[in-house]
Amino acid sequence: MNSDLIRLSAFEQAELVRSKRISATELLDAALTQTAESEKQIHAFITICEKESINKAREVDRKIAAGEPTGPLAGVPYSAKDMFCTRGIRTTGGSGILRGWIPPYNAAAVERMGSADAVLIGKTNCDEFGMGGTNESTAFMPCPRNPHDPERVAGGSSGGSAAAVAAYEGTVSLGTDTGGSIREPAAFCGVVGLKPTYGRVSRWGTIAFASSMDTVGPITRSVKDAALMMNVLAGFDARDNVTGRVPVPDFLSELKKDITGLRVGISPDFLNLTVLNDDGSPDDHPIDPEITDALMRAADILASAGAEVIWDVPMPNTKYSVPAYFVISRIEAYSNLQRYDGLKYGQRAGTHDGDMYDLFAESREAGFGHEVKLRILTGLFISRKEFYEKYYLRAQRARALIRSDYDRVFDPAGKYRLDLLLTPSTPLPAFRFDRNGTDPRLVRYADQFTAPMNFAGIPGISLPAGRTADGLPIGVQFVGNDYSEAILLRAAGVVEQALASQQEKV
Amino acid sequence: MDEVVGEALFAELVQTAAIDLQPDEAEALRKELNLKMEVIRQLEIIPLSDSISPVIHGNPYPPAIRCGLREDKWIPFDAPDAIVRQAPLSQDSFIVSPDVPHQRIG
Repeated sequence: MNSDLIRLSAFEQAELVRSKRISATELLDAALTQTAESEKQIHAFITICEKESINKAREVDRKIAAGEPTGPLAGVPYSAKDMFCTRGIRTTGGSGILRGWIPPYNAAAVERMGSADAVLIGKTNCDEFGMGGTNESTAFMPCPRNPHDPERVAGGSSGGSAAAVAAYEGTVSLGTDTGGSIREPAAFCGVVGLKPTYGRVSRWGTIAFASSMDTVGPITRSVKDAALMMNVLAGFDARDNVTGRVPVPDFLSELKKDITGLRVGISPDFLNLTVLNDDGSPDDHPIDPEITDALMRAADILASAGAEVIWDVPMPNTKYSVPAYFVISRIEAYSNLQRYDGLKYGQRAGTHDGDMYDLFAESREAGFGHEVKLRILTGLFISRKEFYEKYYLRAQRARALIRSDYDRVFDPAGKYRLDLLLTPSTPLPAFRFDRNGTDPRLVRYADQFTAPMNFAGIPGISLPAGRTADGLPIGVQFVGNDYSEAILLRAAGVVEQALASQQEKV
Repeated sequence: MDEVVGEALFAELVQTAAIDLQPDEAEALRKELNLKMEVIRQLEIIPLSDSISPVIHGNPYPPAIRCGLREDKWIPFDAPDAIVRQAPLSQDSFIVSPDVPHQRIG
């Protein structure tokens, strides 16, 4: 019974809890048991908050027994990437400098999940401050393993969240995405990951990495659960002043609509990984052919369901996303990381007999990992006065250029009039920790298909779309215009259902 | 490719970043920073016409949906002691700090 319970969707679990067919406590017990067993191999979590989760599950059960209304995620066990502040529960950002830090407040997303009566079971591992695509930069080792092959990375930076959801350690998870950190691990671990429009979900109380691109979103095992979570998470919040006063649809109802007439574009610029040579000429690297095949299968499904597939949509500026992302993310990271000084919170190092500068320098040396130090120094260097125009301003202009690609293809009066783009989520499936058999350029530029959406501020969803011959998950991505998450979810739901039907026939 | 960041410049960066690096790690980071500059230099070859202005967000943020400025209003936190307790060292509800260094610049 327990193993059946944890495999249900969040939607089904909440229905069972609300109808008293199972208790929240019983569901939590099943999730914690599974988590304890899986963690021996997966290492998705930094902290398991058993006591707090039991208290919350009992509160949900009490509400139900008393006939009080409960939220749409009643009793659903979930995890949160350790980038979300959780009141009374250790929050580290995957960094040694926050080892043992206990925030006095909850992040907005955690508040909303709590108000929806979801039960937080723990905080998942991540690359330090979200900086990485493999989870190997965390200060909390061992880093997460891919549940489909523990010799392979789970992806990052929300790798712990994706691995946890894939290994049934909780039903859904909260992730953050600055350049692909929800979608890439979701693709590697065979789950659904949605990066909403910039400003759709409040980031208040979320540890900042690169503030002009940081977003918060769901990681789930089904499209329907992603829609359910978006119903809970989306909406204006005055505490995050980039959230927009934009109507929030009922994402679950939107799933019921069909996709007849939707215009879905496929771009050749997302079927190769393009590295720029010193003279500016593009050097194309073919992506994994099994990923291209999966994308073509998804396109066939969409066409069969009544969508119109438009081929050869040019997205010529996609290839500039990696260097521009590199500059903006490092400068913003440098700025955001200046707050960690060993004084107000977090780890304090050194002998304490020096002055304030010594305290800062010793605490930051001891607390930050190698990758974070490199990003701080890079960000500091390229934000110097003499490079401001050459790099930072230029990257901000490249951002406008990249955005112009999307404005052009989503323009309802334009040549393409797309509702969606269909792209691979990643150029390769999950690779081995030792990188054996992997093209290093594909690894280095792995976020070329995800970072442009963070630049453009538009939403993207990665969903499982098959497996490689080795049994590794493949992810494809739908990308849409600002605040078009409902359309993304609808198209993703159609592909998910069709693939499930095909699987059943096999 | 020539090194963009030499040892003296790197030492200046480390001082500004306030990270007390050990010599081995400093040299490794300096080399990696120079390698990263290869990717960053690719920005120089992006064709950007004068009509393209820099943007700080990808998506537009028109006044109609904008949050606007918050009221300048003090909102008490329900557990002020919890804020002070986050500090690694505190005494009598004050965060204990070492002396602030003063250095004449310029």
